[in-house]
Amino acid sequence: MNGCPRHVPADDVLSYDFHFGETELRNPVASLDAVRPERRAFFSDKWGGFWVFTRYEDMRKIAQNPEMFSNQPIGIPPQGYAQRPLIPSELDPPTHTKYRHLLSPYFAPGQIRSHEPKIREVARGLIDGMLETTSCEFIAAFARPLPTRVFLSLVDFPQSEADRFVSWTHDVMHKRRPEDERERNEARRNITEFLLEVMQARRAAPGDDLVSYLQDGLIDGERISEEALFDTLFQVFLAGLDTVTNTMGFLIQFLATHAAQRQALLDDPALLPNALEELLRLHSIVSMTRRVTCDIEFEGYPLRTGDMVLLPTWSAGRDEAAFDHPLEADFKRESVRHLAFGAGPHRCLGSHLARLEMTVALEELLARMPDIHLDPVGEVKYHGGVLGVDELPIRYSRAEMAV
Amino acid sequence: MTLHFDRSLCHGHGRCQAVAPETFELDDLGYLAMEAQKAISATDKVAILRGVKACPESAMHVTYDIIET
Repeated sequence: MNGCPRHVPADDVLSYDFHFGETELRNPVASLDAVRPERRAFFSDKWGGFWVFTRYEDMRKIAQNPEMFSNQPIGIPPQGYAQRPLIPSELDPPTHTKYRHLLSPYFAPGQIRSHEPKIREVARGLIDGMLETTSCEFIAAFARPLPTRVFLSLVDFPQSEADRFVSWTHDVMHKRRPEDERERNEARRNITEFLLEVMQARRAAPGDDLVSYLQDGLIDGERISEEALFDTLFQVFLAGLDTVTNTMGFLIQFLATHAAQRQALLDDPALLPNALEELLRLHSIVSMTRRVTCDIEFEGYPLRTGDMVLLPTWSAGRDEAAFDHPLEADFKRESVRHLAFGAGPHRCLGSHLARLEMTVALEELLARMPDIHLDPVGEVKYHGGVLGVDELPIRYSRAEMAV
Repeated sequence: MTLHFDRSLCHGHGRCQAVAPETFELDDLGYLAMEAQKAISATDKVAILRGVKACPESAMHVTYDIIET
């Protein structure tokens, strides 16, 4: 209770640490399931203090209200992803809208669909590697390299850089303890140097990749500045990697431990798109954060200017007020919705790309490893922040050998 | 039955089109291409409701017209 602002009622305070809390990390996507029916919102005394709204509709409304709930800055604690504001994540409308419009066409559904062959090629190549044996650690073998390699091909960066990117991203996103600062800074420096190198290369020789497309973008009639271009690329670089990796970890953990539902997908592959949405609902991994811009009472809670607010999308997807049988994975559930990709003006720009990657990945994995199951040795451990599985040891037979 | 669409709440999730492709069309940027109000026939009702319910933003809602005789 130390350090809670005076305007927060004592009864509303609850310790919740979605980064490192031992209890919270036992099953992170479920970490608010017991709290949510009792508390529509509460104030956590961790990380400088922040409100947490636990229910879908409240999160939706907050995310749809950038005037009262700002993205400047984001992150609890505030970012150290980059030392400069991320573009467009850390902007509010109307400036946000201008940068968003620059990026939107590249990430529109029709445009993204054109990358399917390349995505499938990447997925198949990774599975070829896994099938050289009958067991592996899934995150390292597939979940981490998949989005990295896809991203590299979209921006025409060399595939040979993939391993380096993976470790840089991991350090920047997950090494948040004070003792990790040196490693984190080094990772950030490496990413910075690399992006600047590519920007330089594309100026000299433009292509038809993302960087070439962005560098000629106009903001208020003027070409986007080098600083803004860099900030945008940094954001896009970070945003597309860890998120897909972590979600794939949860998806495969689920399918590897639920044989009947895995079989349902094998029997009827047309179920897959809806199954993906249903699993995203149950395993939303990102939390939106907002800063309150004025003193307001929101649904009875006294918010003050400067208060930070956490919108844990994992709780929204499992909200009993929004879904019947919320904790049940029903691949035939109608009109599945969720906040895995957020809501409001900052809706995940990469959502169409992410869905395509994950759909293709699941298609290929199920087709070639239909009996994929968890290696029973050891328990699965999770990390917080952007929630994820640390390691997922799996076993499988080749499709033609699985009965 | 009338379908109402609040364009300011559409942020391009594309879920309406995904669950009811015959009924909802997206523009080139992935946003719903539809007028603010649209009369719905009985045959379209099921698909329409599917799409309305799938929108994470609740950008659409339906009103029912009461006919007095």
